[in-house]
Amino acid sequence: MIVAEDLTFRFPGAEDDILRGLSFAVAPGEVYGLLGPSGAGKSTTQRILMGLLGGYGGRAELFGVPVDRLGRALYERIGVSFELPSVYLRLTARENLALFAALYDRKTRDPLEVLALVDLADAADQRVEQFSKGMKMRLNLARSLLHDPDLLFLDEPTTGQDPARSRTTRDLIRGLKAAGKTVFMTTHNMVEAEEVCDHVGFLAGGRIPVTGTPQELKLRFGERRLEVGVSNDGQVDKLSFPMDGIGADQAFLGLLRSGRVVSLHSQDASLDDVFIHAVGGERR
Amino acid sequence: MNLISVFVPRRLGRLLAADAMSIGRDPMLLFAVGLSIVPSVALALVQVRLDEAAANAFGITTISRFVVPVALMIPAMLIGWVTGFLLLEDRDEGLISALSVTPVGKVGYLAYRVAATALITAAITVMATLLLLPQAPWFQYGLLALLIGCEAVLVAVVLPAVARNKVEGLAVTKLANIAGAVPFAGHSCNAVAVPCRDRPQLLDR
Repeated sequence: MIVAEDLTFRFPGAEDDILRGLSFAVAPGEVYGLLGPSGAGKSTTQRILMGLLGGYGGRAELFGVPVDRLGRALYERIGVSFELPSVYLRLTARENLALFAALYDRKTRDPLEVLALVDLADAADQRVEQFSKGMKMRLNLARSLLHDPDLLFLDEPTTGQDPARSRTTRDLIRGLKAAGKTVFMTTHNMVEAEEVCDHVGFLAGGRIPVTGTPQELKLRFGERRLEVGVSNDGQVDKLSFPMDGIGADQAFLGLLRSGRVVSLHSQDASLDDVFIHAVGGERR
Repeated sequence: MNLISVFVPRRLGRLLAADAMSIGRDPMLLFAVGLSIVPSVALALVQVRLDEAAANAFGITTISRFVVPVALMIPAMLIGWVTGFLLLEDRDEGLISALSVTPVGKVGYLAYRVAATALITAAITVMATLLLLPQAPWFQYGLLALLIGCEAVLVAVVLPAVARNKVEGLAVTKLANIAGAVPFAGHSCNAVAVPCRDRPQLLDR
């Protein structure tokens, strides 16, 4: 669905390339998360893939066709939700969607149905100038779904949203995947990436030095150890055991039999750890 | 989708309706659009009395002929300004980016804005010409509509070209208005320096 191979890009007047041989591929029906620090080139990559930025080196393809050959018909097939709200403030949410729906040739969904997906149906006839930032972001997201695109580009889709709304958005992304849609998202939120992405790539130094499924990465960058919380006169002591051969570890088995174990945690890495490893290595 | 596709009736109707709602909900923009037709209607109503009053006071027998071009040009300034301000707003609110990832695109949207501005101004010009210059030949209507429509487009595109955002747009507008008053200031100085009775009389030829 998406192929980026050896992508390079330099902004006019800049001394260095922001992308230096970026390569990745996204399969149909996959949710791919491009993660990385601010200024790493996530939005630049997205803009190249969306056909908004020319003058790049390497290969960028969507639907098996080079992006620069797709023309404006591309936008009938992709939906884009930008990082910042981009809405007509004096129009209502419904009017905003009705206006954008008119810009497509393909059949579009009922604005109210799409607003319901992002939990904005109750605010459909409210002027957008009265919306909070989180509501505007959800309206952005609703607009990207309006023409039922095959591929979605979501830039920080939960920006400005409280935890409950973020969960709704994550459920929506999972629902899109279940419906066979492909999602390419950028985010700083590692929990979000871990919850919804099938594959993630960490962008640092214009490349993707670390990529894989969240589970793979957590294991690869974690330790094969088990942390055991043991109650000790009202305190909780933490003890660590190697996973290998733990079934025969008498100390561990003794603790289990003692009835003093209050918690057990495997020491796999979080995506935050992977992020710091990937980005920190580049910074060094 | 090509550039012309933005003028498909379904699409054009929705864009015009959205702009009408947007302008109707902003008192400043609504006032500007309303004001664009006021000068020509008002001048048509008071033309005869204005000429009489000017003839008695200054000896100028057809002052309305000097006012007609101003009344005809005001819609270009105001409609152009409203469009320029809407374009600045589109840019401020990130809508240009959002529109650039639709089949219509940035260029199509700009084509709509330019065409709508020119056509609305041209329609107001034809109406104003009917009121103020009813005896004018038909080609004069066409030429006036074309020229004043183009003037409106010029005003519309200059504003976002020189101002980075709405605040700067308002400041630039104020500056332009002040600059527009300079000829009046020059005229006033001249009027003080040369007493009325010594000036040549402007007579209807």
